[in-house]
Amino acid sequence: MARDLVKRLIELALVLVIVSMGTFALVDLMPSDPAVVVLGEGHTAAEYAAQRHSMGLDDALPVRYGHWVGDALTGDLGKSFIPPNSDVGGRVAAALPVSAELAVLALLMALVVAIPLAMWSAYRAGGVVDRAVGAVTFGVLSVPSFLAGMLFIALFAQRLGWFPRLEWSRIGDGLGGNLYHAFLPALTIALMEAATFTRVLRGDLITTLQEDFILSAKAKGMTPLHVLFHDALRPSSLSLVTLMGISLGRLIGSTVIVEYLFALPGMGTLIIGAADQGDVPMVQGAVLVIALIYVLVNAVIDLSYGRLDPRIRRAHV
Amino acid sequence: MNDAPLLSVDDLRTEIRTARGPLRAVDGVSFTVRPGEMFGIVGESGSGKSVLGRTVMGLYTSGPAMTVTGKVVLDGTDVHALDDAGRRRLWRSRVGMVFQDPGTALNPVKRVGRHLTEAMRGLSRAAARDRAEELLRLVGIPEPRRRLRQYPHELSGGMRQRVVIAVALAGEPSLLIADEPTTALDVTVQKQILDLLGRLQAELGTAIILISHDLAVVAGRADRVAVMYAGRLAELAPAGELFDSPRHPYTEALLASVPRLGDPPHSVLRTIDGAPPDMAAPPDGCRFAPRCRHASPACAAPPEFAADGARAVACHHPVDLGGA
Repeated sequence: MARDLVKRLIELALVLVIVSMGTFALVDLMPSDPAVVVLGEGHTAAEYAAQRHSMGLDDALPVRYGHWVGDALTGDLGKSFIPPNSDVGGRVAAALPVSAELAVLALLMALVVAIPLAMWSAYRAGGVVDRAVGAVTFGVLSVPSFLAGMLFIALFAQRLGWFPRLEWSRIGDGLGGNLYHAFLPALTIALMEAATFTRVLRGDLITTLQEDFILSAKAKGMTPLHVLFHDALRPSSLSLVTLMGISLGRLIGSTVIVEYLFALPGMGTLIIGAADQGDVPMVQGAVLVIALIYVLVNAVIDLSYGRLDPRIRRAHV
Repeated sequence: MNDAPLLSVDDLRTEIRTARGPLRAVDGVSFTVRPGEMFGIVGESGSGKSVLGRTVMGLYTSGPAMTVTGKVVLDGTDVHALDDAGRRRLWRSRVGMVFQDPGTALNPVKRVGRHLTEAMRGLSRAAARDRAEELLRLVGIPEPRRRLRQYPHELSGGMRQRVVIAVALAGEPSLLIADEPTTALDVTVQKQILDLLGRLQAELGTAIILISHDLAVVAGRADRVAVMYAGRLAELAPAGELFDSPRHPYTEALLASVPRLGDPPHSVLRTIDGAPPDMAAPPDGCRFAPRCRHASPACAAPPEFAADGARAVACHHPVDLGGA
């Protein structure tokens, strides 16, 4: 187990090195000249050159990368190009909780909906509920999230007035208010996730339900609910857990549209704004943090397979 | 021996709906099992013996996938007249099933102990664990306390099948249905498992229905044996009589196809010509007739399953009894 963990950590480090290189290469890949971004238009070529020099952009790429990574390892992600040149780390730290909370909340909502739906569908595969769920999930998957978000805002926020919009309340200001503000955007994200989860889990459950051990659990006199939750769910959840890991990583960085619709100060808003202004350090820092989270979440997911299926635990050692 | 049957099966039919039309897997089967008896059911693959076992137990019942008619009475309870809850109560306490492949009959993510204790009612955690340990000891598993903590994949095939049997015994059933309990096991382990079933029958007085495609498994252990062919019983007789003097041509052919130690080396094994019928469109009349060397025009009508003392045979031209 310990050796396994060490191997994992080395893999993680390698992935992070590659990701950080890609992120760092952004400076040279972005069409905008950092010096122009910082100074603004209308300066002489000499002034721009001097600015580039002061920013250390004259150094060779590996040297600059070394500096950047060294700083990043000490927690310093640099300063924004854009006045007031705020600390990238501070801005990311402010935006991350919003996105992370949305993603986690959306995944929880999706699970709460998907697990019972998938169970019912799989238990009576081909039945009325199964076909209805199939049609609805298919429909949901084909609705873009901005449309769903707009519909929710129009219906729940404007027409019915149940939820606020264009406001955010931090967890620090009270959990109730925070959840109240997060509900609609999380629901918007959860919709599509729930549809995907339902489909994947239904398929795996149908396979599991044909196993002999399901019949033998029934033959012991266990109730259908017991069989579904205690016998079928865990062996069927590996694809779902994998998918959740990918979703969590993806959602933290790419809920841009929903954040925009609901005017939320999350990572998506931060990155899009920074990219738009050519604020390279901000983009780099934010992307690096998202990559780190993505890699960590998926490492945890990998380790969880052994929890889910004891046969894998042994195979790894 | 007690005359009141523990189990009586009367004209049982299981029709499974398939894409190719209804499949009559069990087609009018009747028999009884006495308390404490070892009752063998022998048949080829696809003869409907597993479906029969599951229908008898009520695991297969009328629903969208199949229709069951006829009657199964176990211990005075009409199995197919029960509601779902009643059937679950029956499975928890009166009848247990041993499955063919112990590798798949146990949930890979559950410990052995959990398999045994989860169906127990009204026992404290400690009492349930003690009972589970006792069950493992009963089926001959060494170090039962340690085994309770293990997962199925940490046990050998034979040990797993012992666990499956222990699980089936947890509710102290009066009937155990063992569906090909040794088919997935090594030959040496097969014998151990069959010996275990025999010991349980003797010690606990549990009646056992032993279903197998293998005559050798049933021979010498079953009190009575039913031979199944294409969804129907061909012959039913006390085991000794069946093997000594088969009356149905199918039984005779089946016995002739088993190699014997006394045969000279390199002697050619007798096989049965033809193949079992397509159960979605079985022949009218006797189902074995197309493969039978005694067949006559009379075989176009379905033979009656005629009882003669302790024996019964469904044949228009039964094989003569030992030159009598």
